[in-house]
Amino acid sequence: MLPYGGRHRHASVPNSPALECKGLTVHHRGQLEPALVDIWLKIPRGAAVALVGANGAGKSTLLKTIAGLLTPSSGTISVLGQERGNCFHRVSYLPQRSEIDWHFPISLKELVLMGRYVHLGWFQSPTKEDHEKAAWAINELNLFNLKNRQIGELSGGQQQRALLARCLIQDSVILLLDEPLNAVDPETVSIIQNVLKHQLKMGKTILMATHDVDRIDNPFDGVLFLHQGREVQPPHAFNYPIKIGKESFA
Amino acid sequence: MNIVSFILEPFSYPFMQNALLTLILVSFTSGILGVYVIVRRMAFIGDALAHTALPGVVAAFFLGWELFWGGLVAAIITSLIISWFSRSQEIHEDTAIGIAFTGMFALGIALMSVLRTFRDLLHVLFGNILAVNQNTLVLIAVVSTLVLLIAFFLRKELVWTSVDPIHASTQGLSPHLIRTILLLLIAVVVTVDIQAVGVVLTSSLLITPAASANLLTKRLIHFTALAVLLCLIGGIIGLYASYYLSISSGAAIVLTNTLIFGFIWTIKMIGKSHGKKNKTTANY
Repeated sequence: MLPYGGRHRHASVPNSPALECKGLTVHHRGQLEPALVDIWLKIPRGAAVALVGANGAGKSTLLKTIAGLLTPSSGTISVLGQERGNCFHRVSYLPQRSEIDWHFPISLKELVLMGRYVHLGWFQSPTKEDHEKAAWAINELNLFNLKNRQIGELSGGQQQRALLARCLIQDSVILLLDEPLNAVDPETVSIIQNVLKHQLKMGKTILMATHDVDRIDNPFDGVLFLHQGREVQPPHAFNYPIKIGKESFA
Repeated sequence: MNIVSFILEPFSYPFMQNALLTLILVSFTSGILGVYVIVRRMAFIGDALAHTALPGVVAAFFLGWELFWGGLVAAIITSLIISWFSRSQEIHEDTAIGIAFTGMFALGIALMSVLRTFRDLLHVLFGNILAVNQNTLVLIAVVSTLVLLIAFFLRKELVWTSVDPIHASTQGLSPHLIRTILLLLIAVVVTVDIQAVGVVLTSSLLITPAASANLLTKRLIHFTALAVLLCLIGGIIGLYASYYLSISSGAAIVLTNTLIFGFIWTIKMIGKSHGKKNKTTANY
């Protein structure tokens, strides 16, 4: 296999946290004001963590930085104990729906198969096993009858489920989810929540952005509140089993 | 004249046989790359690259080189400049294309007037597929095969970075690298297309058949096959029109492609309005 970006696949460091950010500051291109300021984050393996804040709080910026789409101005990120980028195939990222060209003439199944591409690298086509994994994920997300439909003909909720199916077949251990429950139908909310619970049982780590505090209920082990790019105290009393922000480094 | 001789007579001439072979090659390269030009909304780039080949062609003519290589070098340089601008983001990409496009085309016209070669290079501006000789045909065949092989082996990456460049980026594949490769492939294809329809009309081979195909299907494989087929059909009808009506071959091919697009679009619009009417009636 000829991997993309010439990157190597490093094994995770034993007993290391799933994700660790130390003093992370991020600027958007050409802007003087930082989008994230001095963010500290430690997420143990197998935990479900919510990133909460209003629009523009820096949730998507933090997820994109961890996913390798943005370069931090200062601070460090480690994924499974390795430098960011050495374990990129173990991290799957679910973007906001608006960031995808839904008019492109491919089917739902072809979109989901893209989750396997990182394991194929340059020039290699999906194998029978890849197709089977895609079929399994499509079934999990209750999309089987729509597998041959052009992606633009799916509803918003179906598109969101297709993107989650793509994340599932990557065989990653960390899921970065950017507002997966935003503006979707109740059926999709229920399916996605069930799938995520199942993923947690399998030992996956979840970091999910949401601007809706009401969405935060029992599945989460910890919450990081953001406001204007900074970690802030929660607006009212929340009781979660683990501390994941700056306190976790104390 | 019976129908068989009407069909076969034009191709009894070697120059028409060469034109047909060129057309087949051009249909495959333009049809397949045209799909990406349409879905990535790069129509302006295709047009720009064709125009920017002109100073290279003029320089090649002056230096006594094969015109193809002059055009290719100029188009490749332009595609790299556009790619660099789109990465640096200091200037909007369409602004950069607009500047490079008009500047290079003006340079080509200026060179033509300085060298007093307007008449010699008129076929470069408006194309003459009937003038493609054996050597040029071999060159086009080799270059087209290379383009098709690269497009085939990179099909997964081309689709991935078109649909979701951010996802590709998170998995280590640089969308910018794929875009640069695509621009270079388009540069090669427009240089080939210039042989058929000339600098001014080249972008229509890339854009019009693929745009027609886009109206008919929502599956990439069908879209690509139809783009190739429509490019070929338009080209062959254009060749017949050129032969029997004695009109410029480049113009005849482009006009046929445009008419095919108009026909498909009209049929689709009529079908749509019928569908709406039936729906409204059903609601009552």
